[in-house]
Amino acid sequence: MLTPKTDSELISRFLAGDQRAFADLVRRYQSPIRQFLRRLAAGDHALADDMAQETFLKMFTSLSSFRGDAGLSTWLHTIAYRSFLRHVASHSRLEFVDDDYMPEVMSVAPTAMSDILVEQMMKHLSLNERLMVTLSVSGGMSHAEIAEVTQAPLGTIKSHINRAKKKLARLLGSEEECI
Amino acid sequence: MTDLPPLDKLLAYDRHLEGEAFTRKVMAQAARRGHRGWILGGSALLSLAVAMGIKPDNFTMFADLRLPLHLLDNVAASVSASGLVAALLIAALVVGTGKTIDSM
Repeated sequence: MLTPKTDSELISRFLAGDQRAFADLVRRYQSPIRQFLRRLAAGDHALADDMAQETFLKMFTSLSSFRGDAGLSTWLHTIAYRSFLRHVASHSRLEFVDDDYMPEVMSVAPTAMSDILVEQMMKHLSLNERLMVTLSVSGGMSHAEIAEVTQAPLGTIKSHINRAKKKLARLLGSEEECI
Repeated sequence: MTDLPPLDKLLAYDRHLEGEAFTRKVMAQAARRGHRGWILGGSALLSLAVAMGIKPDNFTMFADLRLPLHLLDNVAASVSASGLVAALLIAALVVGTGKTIDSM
């Protein structure tokens, strides 16, 4: 029976010239990285997939410099986030909406549309709020890991996450406590 | 708006995105990136040789180095004018090809 390889094993095999090991790493991380970028792009799947592709190509050329201080997932999220920031800085293609605007998808949300709903709701958040609430709640990262990705102080991270959760809860019409 | 899951559950990545097509695309691009290094390296060397052939006096700083760069210089200097034009065309073609590959 084949046992799943660890990230370190796959990285070693790739650095020794095994391209299949790289493909295995892409398969392992493509889903969370693409979903992370879809949240940042607030539903622009084409942009998110372009950025995800760029992220893995950067991994391809830079994996030899990966020191393993943080996990591979954290490292990839950092690359994805920076690629996304660079793109936003040069293209300004991000969509934002006012707080009091309720997306139409909210009315059909109880079905299987939670992904679309979340991506639509992300348009109500600033980029930092999108980033930090996604890494925290969706990606399950600790505040320290988020600080590793964003280089932001812990206090700033907590405040962005709380503000984002409050906005999202308000959009959902929920009274749940977010702090 | 009823029956929505709690916020934390709603935000979770609880769906696995099918990734074979995406992975194939990344692998194809990665292979091109790998080739690009050789293409750009070759183009840079060729350009250096051409430049040294056209203006050898501008490369006297290499004379102090105990490196076999003078061999490259000699090769470049021995290329005829038509050869230089051809080399320039080849370099342009190679760089253009590299860019085209990247944009695919």
